[in-house]
Amino acid sequence: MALRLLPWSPEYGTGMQFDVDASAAMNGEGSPTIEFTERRSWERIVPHAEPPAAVQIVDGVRRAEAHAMDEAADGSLVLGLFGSYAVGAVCCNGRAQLLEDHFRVERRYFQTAGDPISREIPGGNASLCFRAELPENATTANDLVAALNRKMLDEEEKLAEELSRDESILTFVDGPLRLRSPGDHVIGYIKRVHRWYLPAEHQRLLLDLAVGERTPVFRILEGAEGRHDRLSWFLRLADLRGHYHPLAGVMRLEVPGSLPCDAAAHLADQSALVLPGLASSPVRDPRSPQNLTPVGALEAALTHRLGDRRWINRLLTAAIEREAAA
Amino acid sequence: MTAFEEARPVGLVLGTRAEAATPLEFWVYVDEDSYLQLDDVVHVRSPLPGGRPVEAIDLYGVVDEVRALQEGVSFDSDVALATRGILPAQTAVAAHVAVTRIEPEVFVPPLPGTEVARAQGAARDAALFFDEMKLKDGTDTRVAFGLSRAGEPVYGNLQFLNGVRGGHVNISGISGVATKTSYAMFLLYSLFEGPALGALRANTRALVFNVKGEDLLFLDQPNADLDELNREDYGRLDLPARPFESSAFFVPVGKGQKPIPDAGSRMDGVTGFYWTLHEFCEERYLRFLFADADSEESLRSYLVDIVEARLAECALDTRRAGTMDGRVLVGGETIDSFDALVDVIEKHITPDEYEDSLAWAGRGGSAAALGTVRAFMRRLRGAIPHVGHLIRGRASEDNEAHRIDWQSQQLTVIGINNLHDRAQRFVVGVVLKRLMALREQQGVNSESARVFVVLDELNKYAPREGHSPIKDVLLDIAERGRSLGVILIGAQQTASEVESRVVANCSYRIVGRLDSAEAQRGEYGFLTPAARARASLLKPGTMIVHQPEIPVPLLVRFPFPAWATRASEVARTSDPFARFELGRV
Repeated sequence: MALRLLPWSPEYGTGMQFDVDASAAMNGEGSPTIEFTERRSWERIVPHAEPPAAVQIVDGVRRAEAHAMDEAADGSLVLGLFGSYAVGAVCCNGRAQLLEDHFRVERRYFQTAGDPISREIPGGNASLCFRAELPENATTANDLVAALNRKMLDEEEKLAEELSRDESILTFVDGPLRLRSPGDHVIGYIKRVHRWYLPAEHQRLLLDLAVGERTPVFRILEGAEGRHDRLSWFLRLADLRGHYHPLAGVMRLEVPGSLPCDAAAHLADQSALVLPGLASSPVRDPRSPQNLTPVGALEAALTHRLGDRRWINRLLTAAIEREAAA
Repeated sequence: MTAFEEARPVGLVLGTRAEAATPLEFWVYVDEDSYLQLDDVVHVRSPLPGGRPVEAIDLYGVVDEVRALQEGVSFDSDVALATRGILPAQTAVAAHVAVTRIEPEVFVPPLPGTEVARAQGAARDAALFFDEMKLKDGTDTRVAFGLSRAGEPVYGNLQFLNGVRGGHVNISGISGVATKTSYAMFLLYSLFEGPALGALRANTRALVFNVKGEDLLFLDQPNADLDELNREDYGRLDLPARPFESSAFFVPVGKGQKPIPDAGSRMDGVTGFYWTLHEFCEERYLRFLFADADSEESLRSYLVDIVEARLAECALDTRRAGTMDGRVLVGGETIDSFDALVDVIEKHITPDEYEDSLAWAGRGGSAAALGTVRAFMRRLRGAIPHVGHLIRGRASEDNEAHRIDWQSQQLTVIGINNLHDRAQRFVVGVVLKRLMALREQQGVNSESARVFVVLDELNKYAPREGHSPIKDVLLDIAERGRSLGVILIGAQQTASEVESRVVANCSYRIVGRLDSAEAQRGEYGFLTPAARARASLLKPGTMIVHQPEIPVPLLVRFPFPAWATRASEVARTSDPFARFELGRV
């Protein structure tokens, strides 16, 4: 295939963050092994069923508000981070609704060492509470940002577990499944491809998928005794125009490996029926088509809930200024 | 409990950057289970930071724009995504409020998040200044101007109508749809039947020129088409629903020998009017035959002045000679028709044509140029077929009976609809000039009863460009009428074509349906942008009223006339012969 573009806006990186060499040597050392569980033949599947009546998608946003530096009791320098994150969900059941009752906004102050203190910063009619936490094994500023991200993912996970108790609704969670007890109706969707998992000859099928078609389900073997096994499949979300690479229109999804294979196949069919309709177009989302349209709106709403960045920055500045003066 | 506390809030004051609240206008986020519509009157009690001089200020206003939008969308096509259930979007409705009043006058914006309620009862009266429409002694000076679309009364202040603090009304709008004359008649009715005039009501007079059709010739008859809903409208305004009670109708006499009224469909109860030759000469009405402005005007008006002066002398001589039957003696001749008067004028002003020329226009070298004289005569002769029958010699035994007497009845209608344009100008000019002269003689003061003059087609009588004797009279009324107790209710299709001083002197500016290009002109600067847009959509029976005390124009609907506006609307009574009576010659 000749040169093609990838649709993600460059400031978001790209939807393809796999190592090209690793991809060529897919079954090499260190790569997870896969099993073709659903069918003997590796060919595209056109699902024929009613799409789910309702789906809900969980997502979160995070923002580093300000980096800081302090001195621990022993006189050593420590790094700090003020951060905010919000998680929420959007439900599509004929109407697209933000589940605003389930929105959660949290703020944290992380520090690499020492005794971080929580801060309550008054602003307008409300006050912002940056709860202090000492993340494990954090030594650099980047580690603190990663800790913030992990906090957000934990919160997303909690919300997903809570929401997936309603089994009449199909729940999608952003990223690989890390849930302790995901229900039978939870699907993880992976926006960004880190690994193809598939051997090169099997990858050809991804190019041939039409919109709404999927690959057979395959098992990703991971962890001892299959404890972290996952059942996964690819589907085509969108048929991008000629100048984009066709692989940019596919997405990988997964369910826990503990699920029976036919249940996984059913969920795979359901996802293939519903997701192409939610795929975003390049004009409205810089991470199209993988960042689904309702998710884009959810992220905008959650970011809005975090509060105005410059305003929070000013409140922080003023609060620290007061501390310094006191 | 105040009116505000009773009213349920309908929304909150908005405070986004794009829609920040100001003391003069603000936006309201409307609750999902309520609505605000255009023309709704609202009230906000906003806390005053610091609590001084008062804890809270009351802001009142009128909704002049309402919009709905989806939040969370950025592209036009997003509405389709939202409808298909893919994109979450929330509908938000906001209403723009033009502030009419702040009490006390602390000009601070209402604070975002403050509750907004519909103004009802006392709050609505305060919002629209109805509570201030009274004299110092408490006398109510409210005049019903119509109903809001919600069916509540809208008032104007008599003090801006009767000349005390302001006067004159100007109504603009497209013919046929704007119902300008109907609204003027409703205003008169409201004045006559409402309480505002008080003791002066009995002596207040109105003079109405019926310019088109015979719309106004049946004002004293009940309207058969008036239904129960229409009666309710009158009830809401505390007005009875009945025809004008005290009215007189004057129509020009026909062209025949006998002075018979030429009225078309109404024959009884109308008086045919004309003027005598003697009046024409004595009162100097000649100028009103030259009432259409044009370019050669200065030379001709010189001649008109001379001839008028000569004729006035003749009239005086006639009076001295004791001939008081309407005829006039000119140079020894007894003139008894307008034709004869024109002939004798020609004889006297044409230089050197007749031996015994009186040489009114001068003699020899100082004579008026022959061309000017000929032009003058051509114009004068041209008036004969149109105006001649209105200026008569000894037409009847009792010339007095044919004089327009607007003082005997409350409402006097003068029908000029059947007349040629020149004759219309002549009648309007003469009647108004006489009216002003009489008011000056009467020695009017601010306690006197007023005379209201209703005149449509002001653009014809007081055009923006040019100069004419009628325009002079109308300017006189506009500028001096208030002190003489003469109030002009003028109307025209387009205010931009009317002498600006006539319009500028009006306290009340009213528009019906306007052509959309016309609505954009500077003459309608009193309309808000929203009102301008609405002016091109107004239905018959709906007007936008701007009055001096209320900073925003209000939309009013006025009740269907309780009086007949055409022969077919005249109510049939139980007496089967009554209609024959009415149509009888």
